[in-house]
Amino acid sequence: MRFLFLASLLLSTQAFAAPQTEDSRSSYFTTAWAGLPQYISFCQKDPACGLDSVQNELLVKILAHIAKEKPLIFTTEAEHPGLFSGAGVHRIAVTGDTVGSQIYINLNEIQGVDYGSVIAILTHELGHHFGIKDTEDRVLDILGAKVKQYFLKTTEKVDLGSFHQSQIGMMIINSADPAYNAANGSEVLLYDDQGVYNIDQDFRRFMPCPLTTKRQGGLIFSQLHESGLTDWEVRDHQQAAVFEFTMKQVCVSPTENSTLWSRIRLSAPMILPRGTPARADWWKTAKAVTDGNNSIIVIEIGSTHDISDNHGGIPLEIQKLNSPSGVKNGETLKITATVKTPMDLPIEGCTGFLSSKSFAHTIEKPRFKFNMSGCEFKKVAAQTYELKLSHSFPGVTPSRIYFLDSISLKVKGQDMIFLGLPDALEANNIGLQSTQEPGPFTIRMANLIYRDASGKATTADPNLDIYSGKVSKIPLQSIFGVTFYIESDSAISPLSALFGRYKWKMGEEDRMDDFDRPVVDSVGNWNFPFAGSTVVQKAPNDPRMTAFQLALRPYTLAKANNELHVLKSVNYHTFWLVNQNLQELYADLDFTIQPVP
Amino acid sequence: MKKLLIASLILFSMSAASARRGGSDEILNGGGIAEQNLVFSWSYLRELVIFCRDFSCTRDSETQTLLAEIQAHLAVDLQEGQLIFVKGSQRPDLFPPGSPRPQIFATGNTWGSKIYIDLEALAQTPSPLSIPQALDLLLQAEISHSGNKNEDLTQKLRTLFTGLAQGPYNEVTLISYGQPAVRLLTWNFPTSARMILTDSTQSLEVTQQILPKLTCPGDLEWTAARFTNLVWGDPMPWDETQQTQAFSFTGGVHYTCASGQRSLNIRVQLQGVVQATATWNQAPDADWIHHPEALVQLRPDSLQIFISHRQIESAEGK
Repeated sequence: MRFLFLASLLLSTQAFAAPQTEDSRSSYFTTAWAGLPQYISFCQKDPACGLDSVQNELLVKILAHIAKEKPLIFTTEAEHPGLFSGAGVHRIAVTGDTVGSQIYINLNEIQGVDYGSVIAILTHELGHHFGIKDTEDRVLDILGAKVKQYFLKTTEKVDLGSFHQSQIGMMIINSADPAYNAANGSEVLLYDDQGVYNIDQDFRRFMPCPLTTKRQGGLIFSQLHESGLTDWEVRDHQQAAVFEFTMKQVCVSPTENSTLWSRIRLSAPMILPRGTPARADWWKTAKAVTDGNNSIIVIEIGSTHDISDNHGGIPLEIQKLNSPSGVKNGETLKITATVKTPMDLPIEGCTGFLSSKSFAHTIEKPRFKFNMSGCEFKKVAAQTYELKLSHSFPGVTPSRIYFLDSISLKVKGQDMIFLGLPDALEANNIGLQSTQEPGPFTIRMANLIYRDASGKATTADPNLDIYSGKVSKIPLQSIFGVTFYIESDSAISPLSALFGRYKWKMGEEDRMDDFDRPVVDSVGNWNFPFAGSTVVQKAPNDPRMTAFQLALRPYTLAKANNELHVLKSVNYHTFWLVNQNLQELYADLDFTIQPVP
Repeated sequence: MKKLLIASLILFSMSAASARRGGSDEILNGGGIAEQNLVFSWSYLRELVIFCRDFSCTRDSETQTLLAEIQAHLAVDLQEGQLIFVKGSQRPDLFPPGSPRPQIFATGNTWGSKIYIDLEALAQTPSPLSIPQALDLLLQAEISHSGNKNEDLTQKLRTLFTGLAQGPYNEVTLISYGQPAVRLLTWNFPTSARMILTDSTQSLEVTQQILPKLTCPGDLEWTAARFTNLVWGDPMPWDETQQTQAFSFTGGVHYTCASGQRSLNIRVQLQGVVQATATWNQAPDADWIHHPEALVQLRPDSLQIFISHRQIESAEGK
């Protein structure tokens, strides 16, 4: 069975730690400096960069000696009078005449400089190391402009200009040579008005190669776009903007005959306080999101296709659509549709996707989207198909509004699909009248376990006595895990989704985060990716009871002003359980875990 | 050659920034952001002129005529190395001392004339010359090469290029599939938008296939649109029988419908699909169209545009 529920994986917050100085715009320079060998090389190797033979030769020399260059030094005119004020121009950088000469960056001049200009400036400075002066015809500025222009033309870049936050954006940098990308991967940069942050390696652990892989190649990113803002969260006074892109992990198989790869969609939400410029340590909350169809544990030959939204599929025209306005519990929902493909290709399968909405609960949760159990298709004319879609709702399914989210046709022998989206997405509402509400479930917390710095495990509460209102204290530097038991009146499927929301306090700030359904492996283990740790707990045999375990690592975080922020507490709030039959249940559990020094 | 000294129309206030001058310059080499922006803008200006040649960017006949003249002289003008950076105090022939306002550049009134930039005048701007400012300055120099003395026309062209340069421009390529020449270009001008699909040999205007599909409810009429968030989908597999491959792309279109005081801002989802052929001088394999040496050519007649997901963003008036 394929999962289509959305799940969230929390990236390590350390990976997105704030720069250590107030002059964080300097990270535009340090990041560009680190990437410069690639940027210069991409331009130098591609005739489209438009270099003449002299420029090409100089770039070859720069690349050959770049490993000998020293790290940049940032300073000011006040600290070094005369250093930047020569020649009667605004100087942003100065250096000497030989390879390894120190490059000084003028901190007074770097505000507002864009990443492309930084690349041009640094290329210019490296050119000086081969004896080229700032002559009247400015050959080094021309060279820098070419490297910059090539970079700008070949980089995928998206910002939040649609939301009047164009200072925040993301860039994906690839070579024009696919073989280079397969071996080395892409560079992914998040930026705002103060800094630029390289994040591509943070995603590597979401895409491990299988053990049989002979070697791991690059992580290739592409198809960057923004997916709008999440709803404003009244309770937390925050909002996230979402960037999405495709990630491909190249894993070379033992036979070298094929390349295994899988892909996930990722997003990087950030806090956008309403009415204020978006600059609130947003990278700390970056998340990776994957849907079950492209789960991190699924590695297939070829590609899997993301169908959780309308990216990636070739568009399909929906000509007719008949769906009932309501269906009762225990009945089968039947929808008929006529669809037209934009070109004639052999079709071997079809799928309909339903979404549901209107969850009546205090905390907003993601919509559910799932594939319908039945789909038959018949070709009725060139490029035209009649579809019969069906889905059975068991007698215990709760009342909810459903709508047809999308239809896909699978091309024979390919992973590619045609994807049809009803024009008025939610006009096809199908009400489901429940005859029997599902029974509640209870959730108990047990076995708060922590490991101290030496790795010794301690069970803090062997008698399962930490319940609502109680505070458990654990050492600050330990890793701690909590086991929860769920009991339900009806059977809980081991494939059910469980997710919830926890609240944590860092310094004086309250934060909310979600944890998401565990991924169940082939032997029934639940792998719970959470806060950088994964804990496996075998589901018990009793179908009415199951257990899952979470792990947390209380950590400290240094902010830009070097103030140390300590995790003060973790409160679990609400758990939802959704089983195979789409029963949705929830239970609240309130307690506090408080790290102590 | 008769030199025409252009008293540049610099709007920057002249502050006490001249303090920057002085100090030793003999030991260290240094880059300036203003010079870099000027050099970058010079090649950018050439690109914009070529853009206007390939895709008509104005309906004003006078402006078109002047642009056509500039375009006709691209072989000798808007060339690399045409900008010369000098110290004005050392070139009184170009920058006469005692001018009432410092001028940043001096150039001639013939095609291909060098453009001399006074580094000392550059240093007196309160903040380094930005790319839009540099572009405007260089456009004035370029216009002087044409010999045009019609101030109104000069102003029209400056306004046009300011719009071109500042109207958000976006370009997405198929670089991750090894085809950087296959590009979707979008330009969002204040009152209209353009979308162009290119490969290495041709350009295809997509705009006219999109705009008629942007419908307005009731008596409201379409006024302006802009394109956002363009992204390529995965290419379809190579079709052996048709010898083609299909590429798809998606994006957002924001447009406004208005009538009197009423206006409605609508966002729709755009999806496009286009077929391409490819030639390559080696034996094909499963991935051959993605090979950097493959010459991918789009088939203009195959372009199809789909609009879905109509969503009202905001509404004003009753």
